Amino acid sequence: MWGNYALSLYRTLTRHRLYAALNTLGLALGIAVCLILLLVVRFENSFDRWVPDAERIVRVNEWFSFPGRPPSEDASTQAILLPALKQDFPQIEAGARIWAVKTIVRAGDRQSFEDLALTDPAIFDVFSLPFRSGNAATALPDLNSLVVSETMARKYFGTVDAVGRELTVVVDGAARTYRVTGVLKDLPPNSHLELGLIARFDLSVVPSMREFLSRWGSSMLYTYLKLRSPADIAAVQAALPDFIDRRAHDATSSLHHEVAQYRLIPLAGIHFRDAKTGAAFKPGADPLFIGALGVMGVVTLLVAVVNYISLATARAGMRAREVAVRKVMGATRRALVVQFVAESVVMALAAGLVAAALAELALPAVSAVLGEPIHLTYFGAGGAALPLVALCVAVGLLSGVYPALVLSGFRPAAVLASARTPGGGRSGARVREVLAVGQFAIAIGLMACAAVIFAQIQYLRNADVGFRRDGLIVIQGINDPAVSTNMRSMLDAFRRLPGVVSVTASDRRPAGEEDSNGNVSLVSNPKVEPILTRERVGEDYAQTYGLDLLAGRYLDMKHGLDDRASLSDEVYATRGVNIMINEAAARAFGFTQPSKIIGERVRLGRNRSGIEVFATIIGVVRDVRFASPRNPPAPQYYMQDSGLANTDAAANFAAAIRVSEPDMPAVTKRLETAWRTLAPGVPLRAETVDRALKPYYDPDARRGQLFAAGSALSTIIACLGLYGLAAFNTARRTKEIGIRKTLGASTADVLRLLVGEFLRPVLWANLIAWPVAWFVMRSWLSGFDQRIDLNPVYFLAPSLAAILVAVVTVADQTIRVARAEPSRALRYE
Amino acid sequence: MITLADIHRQFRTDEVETTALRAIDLNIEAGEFVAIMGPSGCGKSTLLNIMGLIDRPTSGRYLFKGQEVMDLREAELARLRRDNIGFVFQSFNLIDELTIAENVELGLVYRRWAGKERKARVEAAMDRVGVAHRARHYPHQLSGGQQQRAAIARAIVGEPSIILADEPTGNLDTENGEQVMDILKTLNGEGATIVMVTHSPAHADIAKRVVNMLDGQIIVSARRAA
Repeated sequence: MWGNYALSLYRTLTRHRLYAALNTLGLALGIAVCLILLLVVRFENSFDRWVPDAERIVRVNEWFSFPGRPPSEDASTQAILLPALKQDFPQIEAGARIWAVKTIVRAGDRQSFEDLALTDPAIFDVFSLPFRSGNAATALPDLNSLVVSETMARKYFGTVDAVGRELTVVVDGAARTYRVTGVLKDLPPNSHLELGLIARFDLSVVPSMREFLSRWGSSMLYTYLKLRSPADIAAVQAALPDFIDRRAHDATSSLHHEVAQYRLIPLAGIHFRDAKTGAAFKPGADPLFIGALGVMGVVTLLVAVVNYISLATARAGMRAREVAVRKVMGATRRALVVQFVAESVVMALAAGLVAAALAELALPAVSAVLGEPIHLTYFGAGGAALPLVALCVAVGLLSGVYPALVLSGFRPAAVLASARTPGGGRSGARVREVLAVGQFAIAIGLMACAAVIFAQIQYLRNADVGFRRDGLIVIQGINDPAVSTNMRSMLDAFRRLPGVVSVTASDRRPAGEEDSNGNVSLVSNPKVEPILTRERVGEDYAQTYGLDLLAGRYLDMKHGLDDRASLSDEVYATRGVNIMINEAAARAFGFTQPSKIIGERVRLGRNRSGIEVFATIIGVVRDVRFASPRNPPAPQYYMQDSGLANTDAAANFAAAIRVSEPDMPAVTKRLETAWRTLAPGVPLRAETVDRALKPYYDPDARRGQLFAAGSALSTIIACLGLYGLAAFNTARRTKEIGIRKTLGASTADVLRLLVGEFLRPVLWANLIAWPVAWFVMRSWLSGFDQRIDLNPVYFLAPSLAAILVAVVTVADQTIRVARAEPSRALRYE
Repeated sequence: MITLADIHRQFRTDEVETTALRAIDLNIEAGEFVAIMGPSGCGKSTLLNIMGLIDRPTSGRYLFKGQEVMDLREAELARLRRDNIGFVFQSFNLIDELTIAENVELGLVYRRWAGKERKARVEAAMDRVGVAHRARHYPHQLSGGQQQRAAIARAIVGEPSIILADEPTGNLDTENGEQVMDILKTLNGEGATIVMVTHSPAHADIAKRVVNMLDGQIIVSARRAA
């Protein structure tokens, strides 16, 4: 019996090669796309779940909602938060802070920048990290102990057996000798943490930061907690508003739960949360987008399954005679259903094999695009073999049952008595049309989404960031203690280099996330008291960054009151310094017309001696975007200060160098030479602004590419289905076409008829695809502060493309049939 | 009306080449009623298809209404067909998806007639063959005789100068067959040229001339005394 079925299947497949190929290939493509996208989704979802007790580990995020500023969430918290939490909440089993500081590591004659994680020894109680040598209990006995990752051990010692070896690390300007007490296995790629070098956190290690690490007004580091049970998370979270009101007060800051909240982010959710909060260690993943990829995978699979059903019912008519003869020979309906479903399952399994091969071929490229290792494993925990087989069997069943019922339901007498093919033709035509509408709706919708995503990414790439980002190099660390005394001569040296147009310095920089904020009030209306970000800038700032002046004038060293350093404390307190603000700040003060705010005096707060200081607004510039295009730029003011280097150490000063563009690489070389002469002990950290901003733009661009590829494949699959249907339909209608031609229809008449019929489902599909795509894309775009408008072109173009593809797909076969001599069509009656 | 000279028709498949027609010479005058007879496979239908311009001879000369048609392009053949020729087939060849009225209308649609004129002509044609009351039915809802009469209505709706009928009574019972023959006879009486392939000697007797074929050749072409 089964042998006979196999033979029948083999004959059917070899006789109808086109159908066999379309069926297998379409389904395989669908499964492959679904498989790859689900692997991506699974990888993104697997972050940190491998950590033991992950379900009761949290990071404390801080959420701010200051009047006049958009609400923001930050991964960093105060250094004094953890001790307070531990005192107040017995539910905390262990807690640890991590402060990732940029340090210089010296090994022999080479030196390089590394992130050093300054942390509490309890880090190993919170995270049971895998040790290669050493152990958690003995890992960080004192301030000179160092735990390194395998990679770091290999990098600096050439071996993973590094316990007992020494390493010189420059922390806060002072070289310290650390002794390796443990080697950690490298963390798996699905960890939000990146730990290469781990040492103990203590105020004595970072003396210059003592002040900032001891107050509620400065959020500097990450706080992780391990609670006694998962249920404690909600309990502690509920008590945190009271905790803030009770605890978070000191001379510098007074937080209360209406403007600041702590949020406990479960470990497994941190990777997704980091997409919004600004990544702590590595870029987070936007959960909306990851969800969209998953949906697209499933939808693409659906399209392929629909194809399969569609082609199978279409083919049903062609096998009517076989069914009839089998029935006459005594086959029961049940036996026939079993035969056809089995055929379908076998085909689906074959498609599954092809799909696995396609996925294997595509995964390296997908991994490269995403910058994340996506692997396909077959057996063991998380192996794909079993789900894949289950999926294929399910798809086989799903796509086999309906055609099997249609086929097996033919009445043998009617089939055998008639010369015509029953069923398959008209019966099921409506079903197939509905399926085609669904497929094309999906394809058009996906293409429209891909078009919008691409346009948005393209827009962001070229979008106005408020300054000229091309030809700009930023050098960090110019207030490193080893450099700061030389800072002025360093900047002057840069200025003299050929190819350098202008040079400036400031305590904010593109892609730098440290901000210093404070309330600023209008003297004329003290009730208006928005929180502004302060940026201290050196000379030539506006020229170097290429700011756009909206009203007033730029800060200029020629005006005495424009330079903070040239003002005595007395003048500063009475007359005040001149400042420049951005558009957002003007709005925050309630001025829609920037020119109206020029000349207004503002109260900047109190200086360290407790004296109130003032400033006069002399210019308004367009908002500058130093970070993610997803978030609106904060209101801020610019204060010029020629004595930058002498000010506090918490700021991270950076130089910006405008370069006449063609010289870029040569200029970078010259900068390096100049730097090495003046700061031989410190490696140069130079980066073009384009490069520095990449992390804010790249993840979206990469996922956009993946989405575009998926939607293209989905369209191809839909077209494969349409091609099959066209082939079937023209074959079925050969006789009708013959009659029409006999009656005088020209080839063009016939073409119009057949192509028109195929376009109908495509046109209907638009009506479904447009609103859905519009709605989805509107909500996606709303996540961006800078975004494109939803233009009808994004929806019409995919529709036109679908129509074009549909026409080309069916045209070939249709033309062939339409041009044939009518007598051929009518010959077999 | 139709002049065929030395017409040959070969069919070629991968393995075999069969000759359906060889050296056919045939002349059909306007107003004639010609019956073509012969055993199955002798080439009757092929000859009819060639006369109807839905198949092309392999070689020979074909003048339709004095016009050389061997070298005409596909579109020109389509135009000649729809303006001059009406077809009636053994198996009716109505389009399943269209109603009777729509089937009858089809030829006029391809002549680009206006909707109102079409409607009047279609009704007249259906009336004439007695299927007007079935106008909105689909072919499978009609009896064989009714379907064939509908097919005749379709053939005559454009007032063709020649009607080609390929075993028009082959699938019908005696009574329905007689009805169809009566219609054809009346049409011929009104001036239409009719060429009919048939197996029925009785129906052949109604024609004014009988052409007998065997193995792709005409063996007798006999005009009956009127």
